[in-house]
Amino acid sequence: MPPLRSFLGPCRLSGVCLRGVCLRGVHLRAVSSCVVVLLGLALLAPLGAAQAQRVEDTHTVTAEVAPVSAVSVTALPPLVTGPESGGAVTGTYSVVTNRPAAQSIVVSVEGTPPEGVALYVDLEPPTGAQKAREASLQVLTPDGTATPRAVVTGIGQVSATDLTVSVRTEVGVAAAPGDAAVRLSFELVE
Amino acid sequence: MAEQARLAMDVRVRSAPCLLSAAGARAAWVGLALLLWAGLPDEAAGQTLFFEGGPPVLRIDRFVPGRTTATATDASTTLVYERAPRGGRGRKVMVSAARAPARFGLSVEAVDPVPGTSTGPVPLRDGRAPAALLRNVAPCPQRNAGRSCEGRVALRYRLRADIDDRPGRATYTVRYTLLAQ
Repeated sequence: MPPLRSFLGPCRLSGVCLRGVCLRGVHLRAVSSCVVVLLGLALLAPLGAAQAQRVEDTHTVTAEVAPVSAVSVTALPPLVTGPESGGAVTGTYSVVTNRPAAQSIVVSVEGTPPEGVALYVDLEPPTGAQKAREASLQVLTPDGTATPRAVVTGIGQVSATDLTVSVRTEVGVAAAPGDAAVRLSFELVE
Repeated sequence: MAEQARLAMDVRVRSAPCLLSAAGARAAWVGLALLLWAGLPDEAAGQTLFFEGGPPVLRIDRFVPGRTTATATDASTTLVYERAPRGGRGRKVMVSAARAPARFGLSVEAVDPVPGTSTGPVPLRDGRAPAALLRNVAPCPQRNAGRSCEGRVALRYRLRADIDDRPGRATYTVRYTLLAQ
């Protein structure tokens, strides 16, 4: 399309000028309407573009996986024993951890233990882990000394259940007859 | 009178380079007014979408013993999308993710869209092409003069982690796009 100036010239066909100017015979009103329409469309174009830009939107989703370490033991049945004899009970435990670093299960005696009672603990290790010793570990001596023990070591990322836990006692003559509660703690540590 | 007749004829003949006659210009004005009254054309306008609620935060802080996977869900965000004007084409919503880490599994599902059809859970993985989340978004049933006609859908995110995934935090940038179907 030639520039607007090239349209300017005397009216040759119509012989009629609007305010003395013709655009090579095109009536100024028609041209101005054309310009206005084009101008309007030009104004609309950015508006349309702005609308089109909003056809998509983003948002941020945060996902977090926390470090998990848990070990839980089913309630052990009562352990009945007498002088010069020992008894044992078994139960199950579960262990869950997603920590990449190797961990251990440490068993300890909480509270005040009864006199004359020794306590041994044995745990079945989950896949990939090992027992600290093949034999059960003593966590309580007859004189009342409690020693925390790492019973299972090398626990990696695992979710296992129904693993066997066994507790055995040895009772000396110093033990008083009657019921005595012993509270065991199982802890997963690095 | 004769001059006016000649002038009118002259306009019809010479206005061709502008592609608009005087009558055409008037028609264009009317069309422009109608355009502004009825809203912009289907493909260029109205295809807006935005979010309500959120931002979603999903956290896994426990695993059930014996199970090696854990999940967390979040449905706190609603996606609001503009429907096509009456008589327009149906629309769909596409979704994709950027900066998504490979170690976790995140998916999003359109739940109970009105209107539209959910395509089910869509995995959000980095570099994956946009996938359809929502289809068959019907146009507005009636003319909404100057007002928007919206659809809504709940976004249910689901995070899945395996026991051997390294703990940590990840941020996903999820992009939604409204397109003509």
